[in-house]
Amino acid sequence: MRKLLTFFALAILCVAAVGIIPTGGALKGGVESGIQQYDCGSSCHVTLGGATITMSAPSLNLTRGQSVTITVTVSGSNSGPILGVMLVSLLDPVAASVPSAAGWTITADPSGSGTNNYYEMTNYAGDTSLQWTLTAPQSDGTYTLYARVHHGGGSEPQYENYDLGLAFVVGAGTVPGAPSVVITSPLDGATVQDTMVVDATIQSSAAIAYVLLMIDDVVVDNKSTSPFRWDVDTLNYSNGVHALNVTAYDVDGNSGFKNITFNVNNVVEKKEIPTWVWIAAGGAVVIVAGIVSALFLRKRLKAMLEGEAKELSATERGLLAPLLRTKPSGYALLVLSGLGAALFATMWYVQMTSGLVVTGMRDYGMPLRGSPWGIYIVNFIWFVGIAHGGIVMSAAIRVIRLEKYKPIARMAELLTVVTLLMAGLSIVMDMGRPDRLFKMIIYYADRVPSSPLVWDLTVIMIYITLSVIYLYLLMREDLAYLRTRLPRFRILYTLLLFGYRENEKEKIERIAWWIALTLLVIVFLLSGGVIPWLFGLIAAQAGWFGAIQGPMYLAAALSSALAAIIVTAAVMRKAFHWEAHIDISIFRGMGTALSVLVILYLWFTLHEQLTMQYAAPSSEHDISDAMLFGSYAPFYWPVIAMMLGTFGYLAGSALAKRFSLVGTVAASAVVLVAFWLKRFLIVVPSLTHPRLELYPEGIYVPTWVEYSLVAGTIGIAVFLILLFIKLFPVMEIKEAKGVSNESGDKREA
Amino acid sequence: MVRYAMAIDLTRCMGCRACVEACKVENNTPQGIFWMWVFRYEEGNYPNSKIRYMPRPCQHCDNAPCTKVCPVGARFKREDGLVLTDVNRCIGCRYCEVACPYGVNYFNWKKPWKNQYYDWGEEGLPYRNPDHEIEYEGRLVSGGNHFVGVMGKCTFCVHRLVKGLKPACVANCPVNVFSFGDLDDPNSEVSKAIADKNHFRLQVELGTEPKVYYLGAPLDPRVLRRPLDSTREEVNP
Repeated sequence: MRKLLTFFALAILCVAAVGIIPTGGALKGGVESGIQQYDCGSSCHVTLGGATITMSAPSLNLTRGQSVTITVTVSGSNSGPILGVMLVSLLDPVAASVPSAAGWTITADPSGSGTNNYYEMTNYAGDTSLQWTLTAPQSDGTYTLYARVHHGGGSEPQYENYDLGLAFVVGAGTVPGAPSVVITSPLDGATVQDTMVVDATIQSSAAIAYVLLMIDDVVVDNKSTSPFRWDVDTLNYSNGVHALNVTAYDVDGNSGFKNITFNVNNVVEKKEIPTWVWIAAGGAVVIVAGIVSALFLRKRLKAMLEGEAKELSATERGLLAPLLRTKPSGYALLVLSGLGAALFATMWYVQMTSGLVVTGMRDYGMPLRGSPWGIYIVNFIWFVGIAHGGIVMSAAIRVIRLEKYKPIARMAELLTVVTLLMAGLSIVMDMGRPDRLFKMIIYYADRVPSSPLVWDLTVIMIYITLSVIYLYLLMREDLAYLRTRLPRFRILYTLLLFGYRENEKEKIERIAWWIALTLLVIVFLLSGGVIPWLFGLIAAQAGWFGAIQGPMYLAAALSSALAAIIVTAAVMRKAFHWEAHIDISIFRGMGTALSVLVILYLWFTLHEQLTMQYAAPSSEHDISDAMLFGSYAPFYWPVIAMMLGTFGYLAGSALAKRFSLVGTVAASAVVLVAFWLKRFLIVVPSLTHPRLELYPEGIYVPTWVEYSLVAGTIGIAVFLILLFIKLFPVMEIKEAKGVSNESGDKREA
Repeated sequence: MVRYAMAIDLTRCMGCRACVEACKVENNTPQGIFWMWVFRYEEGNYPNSKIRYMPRPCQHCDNAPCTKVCPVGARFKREDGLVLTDVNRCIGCRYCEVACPYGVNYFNWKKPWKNQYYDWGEEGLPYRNPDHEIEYEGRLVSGGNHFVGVMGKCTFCVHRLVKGLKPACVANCPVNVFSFGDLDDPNSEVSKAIADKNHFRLQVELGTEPKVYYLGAPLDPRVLRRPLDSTREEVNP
């Protein structure tokens, strides 16, 4: 441990040291000789009054790497004794104007001892000649050098005093009598395979010192004696075009070269490992890991797997109905939801390959007049809303001991986990680049102080982690009980029960209580917090900004969640004949609560609309008008009517003490639809009515791709719920009525 | 340090949209995407109405709401005042667009290297501007043709500024509507323009501190303004 800490400390020190050590680079201040960029900060020397600067070189034709001496002559008088002269390769004010950026190497500067492009004379008195010696760049082309008197400042360099420059041609026009190279094989642009023969003929007046063979600018070989012939194995090069260069140097230091290209076209043997090898290797790893862990845990697993099979009571068989048999309608639903998932996959593929252009979303404002967010975001808010209630319900049952509602606790938890996953999926399918999602983790620390979207990510992550743990912990007791009674699931349950102890119940209850309490608090942070803040903090969109969003979203979330639980529980109760276990009074109680939440939401809506109508800025007023009387009225009023209707029905039946399960479930379904539409009326109208009055009203019509993806998320949600209830007990066995705890599994005691 | 700003003289603008064209050519933005846009609107009621014009680049706010909400820091503000988008980092959530009160953000709804005004097919870009392939201050921020699914907007032509040139819209205006320069330099064009004339900025009440100044009388809240453009179908990407 101490070694590890020391290592980290050293690593941090090293990183810090690298950060502190100054790195080399062009200087800016025009003080003394050095490497100078186009500008020289504030310490430039003044212009050369009326004088001229000229430059000359013995030859403008150079071979690669040839040395050349440039003479710069300054004539005329200067306003001061200090004068700086510099050599640049560009007259643009960019950092790349130093000659080295163009490929030149300065081997000597006027001081005779340095290799700088800037030379400063401290006692300039008149005509002066300065000499730089440079080595030409290593690739062919035309390279211009300028000499100029140092002048300029800040980001606005001025080039008042400079020579027109010398344009050096590197490559062509070599020195007379220098070596000349002809490549006889391969031909320029030839396509080659396997072994390529490179054959070069070299003529030179002086004796050849050595010849270099370069492929892709990498020296492959050098030879000093004829024949200049090489066998090159092209398998070392990728298929495609490569550059080949043969350069000959004679004893006098002159050189000549030839550049050609060749195209490698080898038949590439598939060296990829076939898929079955991967599968076999993966399988082998799993088997070995299984055997090793089985050896380690032999005793424990033996005890767990060997427990004698026990019979289920009739009540238990009723509670476990979904695990014991599947009706044709169950298969039909499975296929239907599976088709929904398949539709999702197909349409998402379409969206990913074409871009979000296949949706109805467009940029707001001119000229597209669209809405940058659409029903994906609507779907996200809706699912997050449903996700709350589930776990809140279950948490409330635990924290304030609502024993009556216990039978539906696990259904509620299941609904939370599944809908939370779908909420996350809705966000991912809205993103232009879901492949870059990980960047939200990378830049998390940087962005969490200010981005509401990052707050969302945080709270949703915490929420889903806690929900899954909560669901799992509270299910362990049932899994332990069923392990010996459901032979089909024995292995799965045994694996999930890893580390199970008979006496763990008390501890688990304590952990679950604290998680429940945490979840109750987080609901206010998420549904009444970061989700509304996503909108309520955005001042740019009229209709969003404001403090009412928090309470409104919370009421909406709890309403739609309660409605979703009512529908789910009622469907399962009917499908699996759980009338005896899920008491009708549970639905009555939830229905009454739902009516209160819906009227609370309508109350907030009244506040919101009245504020927008009464004396608000015209941008707010316009949005309210669009909803109440304009293009969104055909959605707005039906939503209000649906909410009022369900409130009237639920509250009425509660007061009249006449309860109908079918009516309550229907009302809940209406609430679910109404709140989906209401979220649409929150997200879209603000975006199609830009705050800047010069933009015309926008248009947003979702496309079938969007509808398919939204329907797909619901299909996936149903599929996951079906999967769960076919694998795990969705009703609590040991807590249910009529099941004696005394008959519990005592084998391990 | 430089603090870039722009002044737009509304009394001079004649609505020719040369700036819009210059921007599209310089930044090679795809169809339907207008980093520079000129509002054309009718002001007042008949018979006292008048056609007016207002160019709208990104406002390069000092307190930019788009940079605050970005979940990955792809939208950022540089020290010289430019608000830029790192297209290598953007995840395409469009939160910056939603948070911007000026509507200057344009998303790449599809592969941006096709379907310009004229469909160039699979051949690729009508032309390539290598300046857009360079990273400025270490981040890929310039030009409008990078990836599908990322955000883009006016950069004040960051690739021209490093060369000492002015943004394309400024350089191409035939009637000198724009002044551009360093706000900290009292002798810069923009500082002089602001000092000489009445000016206002858009939606300052939101505290965004925009760096685009409009010269002329502020928009009168008592007068009706009616946008004259509504050409969605023609430019749909």
